[in-house]
Amino acid sequence: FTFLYEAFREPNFEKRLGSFEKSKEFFQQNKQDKDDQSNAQLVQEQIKLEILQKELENTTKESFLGMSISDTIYKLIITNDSKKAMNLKSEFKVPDKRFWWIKIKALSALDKWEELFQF
Amino acid sequence: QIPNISSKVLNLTSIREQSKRDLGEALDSLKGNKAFVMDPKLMGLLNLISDPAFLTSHGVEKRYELKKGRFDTDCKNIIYIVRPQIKYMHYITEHVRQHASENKRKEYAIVFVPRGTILCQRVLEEQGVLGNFVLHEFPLDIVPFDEDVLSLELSSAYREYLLDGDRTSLFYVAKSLMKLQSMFGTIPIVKGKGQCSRLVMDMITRMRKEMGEEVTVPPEIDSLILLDREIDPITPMCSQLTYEGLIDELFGINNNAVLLEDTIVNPPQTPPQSGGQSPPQAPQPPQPGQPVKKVPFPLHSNDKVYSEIRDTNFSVLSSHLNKKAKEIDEYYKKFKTTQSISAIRDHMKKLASYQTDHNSLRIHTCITEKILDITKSPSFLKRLEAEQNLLACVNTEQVEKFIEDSINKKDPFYKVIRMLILYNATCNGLKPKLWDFLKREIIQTYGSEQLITLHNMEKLGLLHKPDAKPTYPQIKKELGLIVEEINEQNPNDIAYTYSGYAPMSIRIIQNAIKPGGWKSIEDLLKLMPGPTFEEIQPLPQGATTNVKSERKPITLVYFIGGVTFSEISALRFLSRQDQANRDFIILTTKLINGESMIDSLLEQQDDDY
Repeated sequence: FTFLYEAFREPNFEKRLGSFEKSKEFFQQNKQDKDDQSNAQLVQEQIKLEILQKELENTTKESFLGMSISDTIYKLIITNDSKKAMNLKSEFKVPDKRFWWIKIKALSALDKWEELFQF
Repeated sequence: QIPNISSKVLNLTSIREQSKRDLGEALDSLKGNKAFVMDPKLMGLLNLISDPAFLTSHGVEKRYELKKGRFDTDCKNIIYIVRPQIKYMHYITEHVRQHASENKRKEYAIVFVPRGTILCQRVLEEQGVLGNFVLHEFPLDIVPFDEDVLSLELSSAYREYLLDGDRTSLFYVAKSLMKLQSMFGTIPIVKGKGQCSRLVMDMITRMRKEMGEEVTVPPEIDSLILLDREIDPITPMCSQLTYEGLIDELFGINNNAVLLEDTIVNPPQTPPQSGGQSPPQAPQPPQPGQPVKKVPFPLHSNDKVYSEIRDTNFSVLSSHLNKKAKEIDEYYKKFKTTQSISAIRDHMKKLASYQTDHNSLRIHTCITEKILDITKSPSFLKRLEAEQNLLACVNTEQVEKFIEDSINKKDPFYKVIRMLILYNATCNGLKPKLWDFLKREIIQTYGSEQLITLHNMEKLGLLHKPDAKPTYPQIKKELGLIVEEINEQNPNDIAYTYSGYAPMSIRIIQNAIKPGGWKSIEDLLKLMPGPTFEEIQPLPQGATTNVKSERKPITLVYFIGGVTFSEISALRFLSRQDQANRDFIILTTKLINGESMIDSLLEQQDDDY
């Protein structure tokens, strides 16, 4: 957890990923502990997410880093990028139920009532 | 602002007087007129012990809030008053450098509350500015909040010990008890439950030995009950349903005051002087885009209307207010028909007090209106239903759904955690499958920083795997936590504070004051964490028990790790009841609600810098 703590405080992108890697390895060492295994997985997802967000930032010129998965999806729908939002959904295995909630929220924020009715 | 606390059972004014003297001394550490720069977290507390006139009499010319960045003042002398935090040392260093570079000669002093740390001194030394300061300590510990409530206002006490193993706060707790004992006499009977309580008890015993000779004050307090918050994590997680509790839950009470819209506290029109009660003027809708100006409104027992309704259940608020309004109305009507001069004179004497009541009634009606608007809302009712289901151990699958939906909707994080902790405490922990699922949902919604928060919660035992044997059902049954028939209008049990759930902590205290003491629930206490103890403190020689027979015995209850307003209401209810036959004084490390308790456990990312 110390590594994880450091990672969240580290502003530099490369170093941040490094700390995440370290904390992941640390969790993975504990093969017996199921909690640590799931923690390792969650950290792995965080690494994947941050790399993805970095890409998004480069292509869209919007800021994404530091957002949670749900928030990222929300922002993608708001900025009319439903396809990428769907990609993210399957990539991180977001349950349908939560995805709908996010989508409903985003569409109503956009006043896209027609689209909301359709689905 | 400062409540009058001299009345009732124990004369607490002396505590405040001593703090005031200490503060005066600290202020005099620099001669002449000065600027007074305050730690924002201390400002409210300082308001509870001193008023502007007092500060002026000690040469305070201007008051400021300590902030990061530039600091400009005409005053030649600057006194900082802060909790010993490293980030403040950096702010202050910056100020000194700024003034030096602008060739302004100033004198500086830092007053640490309650005491300085070596770490802070070291930081100043490293920055090369230590020599610029006169250092002083202001040992402010116990702050009286009301006639029967005292607090140290140390928000991180619980976390410091249980999470970081830091005993500093517990040392302050022990110190505060020593201070009370030096003023009101040694407390003969001490009962306690929990690891923090045990440690504090050991510290007191040691301190008494080290002191040797003790002042012989006849004991005014008959017994002390020490209770760890850890024993009952359930109650703070439930929504408080008393008037004061709800104000705290919905708007937040800090240092005895709630922030209200300016238009409520100071209405634009002058209130009618006579002619009966007029309906409260609807506050002007705020101009869009313009922030609503909020002003603090004091809440304590000197406000007669408030002291009558603060402890009542929210469902009977309207009828209470109505009754009070009629009373005032009667008075005004009588005034109109009064003829003789002497009768008018009698009336005028009371007029001022009725007008005060009238004004406070108007404000409380506004607050009640706002509260009832929220308590009527479906989201509030659904949450309440979920809580009550958990407390009664029924329909728990439905609550699992509720938590899931709550995450999906991205409700404020502390609300989710609150329900989760309550679920964990009442349903014997979290099944691995459910926990894995919820953890993922939480992380994906609120961000992976929360991994650390969740880890802290696990470390504190607030979230855990299922135990071999569930303990809550047994505790619930034997302590009678669920009361089916509850009369909110004329309460017959403390369960009225949560509409049917009797706060566990207070039930434990109820048992502790029974003649047999802890014994009656000995087996039950074994199910809860930490040691149980009951000790007799030998009185110093010469201090005779001098408890006046006409007075009820006083029990001091020390909640280590915080107490909620509803729990205080429940204890007041017990004081008023004849069967308890004693008065309670409440002392705590911090006045809390579920939100602020979780807040103190969250990972503070930028605390030190």
